[in-house]
Amino acid sequence: MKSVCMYFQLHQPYRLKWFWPDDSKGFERYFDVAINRNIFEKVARKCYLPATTLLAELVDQHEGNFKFSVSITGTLLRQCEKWNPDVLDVFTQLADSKRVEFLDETNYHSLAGLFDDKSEFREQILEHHELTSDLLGVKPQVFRNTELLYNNSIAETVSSMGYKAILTEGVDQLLDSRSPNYVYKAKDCDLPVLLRNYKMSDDIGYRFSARWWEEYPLTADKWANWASTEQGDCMNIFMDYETFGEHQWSDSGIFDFLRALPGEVLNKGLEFNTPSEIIEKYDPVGEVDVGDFNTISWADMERDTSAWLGNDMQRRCFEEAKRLGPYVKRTNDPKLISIWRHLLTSDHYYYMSTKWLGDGDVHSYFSIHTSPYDAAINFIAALLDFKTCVFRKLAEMNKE
Amino acid sequence: MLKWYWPSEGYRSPEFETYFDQPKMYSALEKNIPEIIRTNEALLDSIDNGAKYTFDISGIFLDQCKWNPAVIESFKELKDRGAGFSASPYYHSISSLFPDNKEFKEQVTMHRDKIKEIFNVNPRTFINTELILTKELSAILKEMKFKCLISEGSENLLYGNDPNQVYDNHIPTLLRHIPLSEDIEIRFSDQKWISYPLIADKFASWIANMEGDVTTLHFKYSSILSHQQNRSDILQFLIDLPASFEKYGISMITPEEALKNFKTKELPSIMNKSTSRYGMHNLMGNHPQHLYLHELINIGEILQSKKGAPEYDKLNCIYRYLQQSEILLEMGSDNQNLGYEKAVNIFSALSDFKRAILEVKV
Repeated sequence: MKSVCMYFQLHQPYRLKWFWPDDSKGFERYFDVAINRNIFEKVARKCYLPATTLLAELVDQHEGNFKFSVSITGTLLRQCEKWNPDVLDVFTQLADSKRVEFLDETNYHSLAGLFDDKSEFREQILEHHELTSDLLGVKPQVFRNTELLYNNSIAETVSSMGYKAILTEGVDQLLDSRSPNYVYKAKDCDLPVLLRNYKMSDDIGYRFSARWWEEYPLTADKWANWASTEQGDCMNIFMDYETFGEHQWSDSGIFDFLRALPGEVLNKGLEFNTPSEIIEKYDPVGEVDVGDFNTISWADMERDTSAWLGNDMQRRCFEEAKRLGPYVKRTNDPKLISIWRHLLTSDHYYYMSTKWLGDGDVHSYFSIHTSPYDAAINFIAALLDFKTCVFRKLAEMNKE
Repeated sequence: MLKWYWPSEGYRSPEFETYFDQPKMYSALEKNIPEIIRTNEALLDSIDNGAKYTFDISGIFLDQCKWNPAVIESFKELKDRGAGFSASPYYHSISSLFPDNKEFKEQVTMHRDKIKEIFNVNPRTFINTELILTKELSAILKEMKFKCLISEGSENLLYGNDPNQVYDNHIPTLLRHIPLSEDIEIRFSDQKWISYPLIADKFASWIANMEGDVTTLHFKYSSILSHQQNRSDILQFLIDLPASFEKYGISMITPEEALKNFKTKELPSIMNKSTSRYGMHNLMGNHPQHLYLHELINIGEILQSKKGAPEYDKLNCIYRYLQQSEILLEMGSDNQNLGYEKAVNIFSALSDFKRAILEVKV
């Protein structure tokens, strides 16, 4: 192995409130500001602030040899702006270090990439690009989609927007005994594709504090040893930023692991590269072909769309939200459009998942609802009400 | 019942078929016709033996019978032999739960007119959808000149009193005897039931051993059909019943005869409690049900403002079908998770309907 390419995902959704059609108006009619703020502040305290401070220190300490990449959704950036600008400051420090590459994604961590019509997807990407540029002063050139959702037409769209590369999951069936540790290119559009090494990523992201795991406890030395003995050009380690302090709590030793990791990796003769550097250094060795009906992602055991669109309730809610789009836009009302875009956030659909076996515990961990059924009925109730708002507005406009 | 509505059908002006499965309703009726005719013939025999029956046939069902007039004819024959008919909201709706009773009254009047038109009788007894009783109901019915109300003998209403009396309210009220009604409605063909097989003589002896003036037996007509499908001889039971009653000195009477024969008794909780079958929780027990009722009321208000529109009648008719109690029961908690899945479907359809109404220009 030559390079380690790390990418961290940062996102907080705006969760829906337990909806009842009362007199409240606008954004707060649907979204639970108090709960969202609470969760944001908890995660900021446990993860965003300590993890970012540590990573910034490590970047300094290794004098340019430790690099990584991140993307921060617009939804989270706005929450930082509103509720704790200190968090925004530490992110800006990362950006200013020039050692950290920022990637683009949809501004709302949305499922818009799954629409047949990609115009909304493009708009959300542009919105993210502008926001990242405004708030952090960086202009991302590499793209990662929500939950690493990927298919040929998503790649095609991203390529046509001028991005240099895209990140997705190293799904076994897709690789068909090829290794994820090389650069590939997308079918038909030649966009370089970086595939997540899910085994090595999940060793940190999921298994780090798992006492049932035979490798427990994981040390940076051990992990770096594994990495150095693997074959390939680049090892793509993609994970939730919340691994540091939130999914793996501080007392699990995750921060000590992170502190030791860059040194151990560099000691083994590996280097750290960001996605842009990877595609400069290594040529694609093959093609990835993912038809639109076989869309992949990094979620659950299935690594497909079933975490969000696996059951009838999810598909119905998604179809409803999608179908409303052109009408929302016709209102030209930025507030309504913003609410609609927040309703496309993947998390709402994730909460409705009924896959209890295996990954269900992960779904319920992230949800504020007592059951996926509550989540679904709450979403459709809010959507019914929102649809009403949209059509009332359109009726008013018709009168004028 | 609502069909599995799929939103990709697009935003159009809806037809009845957009949300409801007309062919399915038709074939369900078709399938049942021979059993309905056979049942009614047995009921005629039963009446000849001294039985008294009152039928509450919803407007929705009467409309469906247009597809096969033989069904209506067979009910007319029952009427000619002395069967009675009661009134209820035309659409088997929960409109009595709306804060404004205008919609409810309209549907009751519609039903009363329909019964008059088909059977040439003027119903004096009222049986609300799912036996719903609200605080205002009895007073509204009095104003509408009804003489008698039948409601549910549920625990939350009786508080330990027995249902075997004519109770006092704005109009006299009979309460369904739940266990005995359900012996016929539910348990009759259950081979694991300790009292299986139920014969008329056994049933009559149970009633003979009870205190009180009158036992109100109310059950779904469809239960007679399903017992037949379970190969139980429910028809023979009904034919035998009058003679068995007579043996124990019990006579079968109509609701109106009950009022004449017995003095009304006081039941304080009847004035301030709501109920439906088994209590309110089936119908109004969970969050989706509350939301649905709330939305129905809201849609009704919007619809009022669209009265001049050419599509008003069509939309109003769909609106009334959407008030069927079955839709609420379907999303009930008894239905567990499936109830919520259905509720998501129902809300999806309702959101389309509300959208369509908002799009109507007047």
